Amino acid sequence: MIEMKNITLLLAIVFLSIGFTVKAQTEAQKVELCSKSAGAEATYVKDLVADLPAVQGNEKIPNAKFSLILQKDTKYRVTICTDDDSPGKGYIQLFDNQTMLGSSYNATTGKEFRGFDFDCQKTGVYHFFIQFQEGKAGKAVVILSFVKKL
Amino acid sequence: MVKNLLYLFIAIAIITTSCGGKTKSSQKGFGDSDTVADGGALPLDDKAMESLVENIASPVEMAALIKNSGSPFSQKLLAPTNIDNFNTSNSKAFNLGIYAADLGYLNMYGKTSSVITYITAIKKLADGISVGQFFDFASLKRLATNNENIDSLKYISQHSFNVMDKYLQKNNRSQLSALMVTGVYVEGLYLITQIAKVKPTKKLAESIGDQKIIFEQLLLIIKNYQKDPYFADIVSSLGLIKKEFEAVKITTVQGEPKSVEKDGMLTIIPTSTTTIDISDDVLKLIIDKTEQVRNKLIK
Repeated sequence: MIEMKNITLLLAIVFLSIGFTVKAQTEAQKVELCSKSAGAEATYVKDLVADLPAVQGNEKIPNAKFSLILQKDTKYRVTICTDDDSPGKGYIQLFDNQTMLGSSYNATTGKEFRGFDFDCQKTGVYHFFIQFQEGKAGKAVVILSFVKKL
Repeated sequence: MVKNLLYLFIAIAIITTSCGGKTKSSQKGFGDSDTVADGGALPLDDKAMESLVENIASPVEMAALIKNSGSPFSQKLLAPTNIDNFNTSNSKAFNLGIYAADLGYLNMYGKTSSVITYITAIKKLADGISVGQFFDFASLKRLATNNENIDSLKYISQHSFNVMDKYLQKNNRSQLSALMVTGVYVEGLYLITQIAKVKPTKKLAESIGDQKIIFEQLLLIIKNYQKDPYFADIVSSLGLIKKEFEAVKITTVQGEPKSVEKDGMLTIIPTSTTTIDISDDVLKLIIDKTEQVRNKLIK
C-alpha cells in the first residue's frame, strides 16, 4: 500500500514536471514558427512575448512595452503572431519617443497586417507596444527580424 | 516517510530545472566573488535594467554590416578561444558575448567548419555561468558538421543567445547579461573597425561614427555596476573609446513618418534622418582605441 502511494506520488511529480517542460517548449516553438512566417529573406534578431489581461472598466488598455535599439540604414521586419487560444487579436505599434511611427492595426478602419517593415533612418531607442484589439486578454509573440542594409 | 521526503526533494529538483525561465533565484545563489559587490545601492533596479538592455548589440546586425561592406571573410579577426583563462563568472559572461559576435560573423559568411570551435567555447562558458542548458549545442553542432541549413544555424545561434540573456535578466543576474551584451558589442565594433582599417569607405566610416549613440546606451548600463572592479575596468577601458567618439557629430533632421502599403505588406518609412560627421583622423583614433581595448579585455 505504501509502495503504491509512493508510485502515485512519483507519477504525479513526473507529470507535473512534464507539464512545465511542455509549456516551455511551446513558447520556443511559437517563437520559431513566428520567425519562419516572417519570410526567408528575414533573419531573426529578437522575440518579444506578451501575455496580457483584459482591460478593467475604464482603465487604460493593457500593453507590453519593449525598448529596442535599431540601427540606421537597416530594413527590419516586425511580425506579430497571436496565439490560437488567445481571446484578443494582438497588434503592435512602433514609437520614436512620443511619435507613433506606425501600427499593424488601424482601429478606425479595422485594417490589420501581420506586421510591418521598418526602414530605419536613424539609430536610436525605439519603443514597441503590444496590445490586443478591444482591450481583450491575449497572448502573442512578436519577432524582430533583420531584412537588409539599406 | 523518509522515502516520501526523498521523492519530494527529487520533484522539486525536476520542476526547478525543467521550468528554467520562470524560476526566480536570488543572486546569492550564484555567489561568486565576481558578482556585483555588496554595500552600494544600484541606481537602476533589475526591472529598469531589463527595459534598457534590449537589443543593444546583436551579432546579426553587426555581421550584416560587415558583409554589406563587401569585405572578404578573415579568420584572423576572430578572438582566440582560450577559455581556460576565464575563471570568473564575469569574465565568462563577457567572453561568451565576444564569441557570440564571432559566431554571428562566421554564420553570416557560412564558415561552418570554424563554427564548431566557437560553439564549443560558448557552451563551456555558458555552462560556467549555469545557462548552458539554453544553448542548443547539439543542434548547432549537427548543422555545422553537416554544413546544412545556414538559416537554421543563424536562428538557433541567435535564439539560444536571447534565451540565455532573458534567463539571466529574469533571475536577478542582470550584471552577467550586461557583460554578455557588452562582449557582443565590443567584438562587433572591433570587427567593423578592423574592416574599416583595411578598406575605409565613407559608408563604413559613417556606420562606425553612428555607433556613438549605441555606445552611450551601453555605457549607461554597465556604469550601473561599476562598483564591481571587473565592471570598473571595463567602464574605464571603454571610456578611452568614448573619448574618441565625442568628436563625432551627429545631426538629426526631424520629419513626419509615412506608411506605404504594397502587395498587402506595410512599410513604415520615417523621414527623420541623421547625418554623421566623422573625420579620417577621428576614425583612425576610434579604430586604434577599439583594437587596443578589445585585445586587452579578451586576455
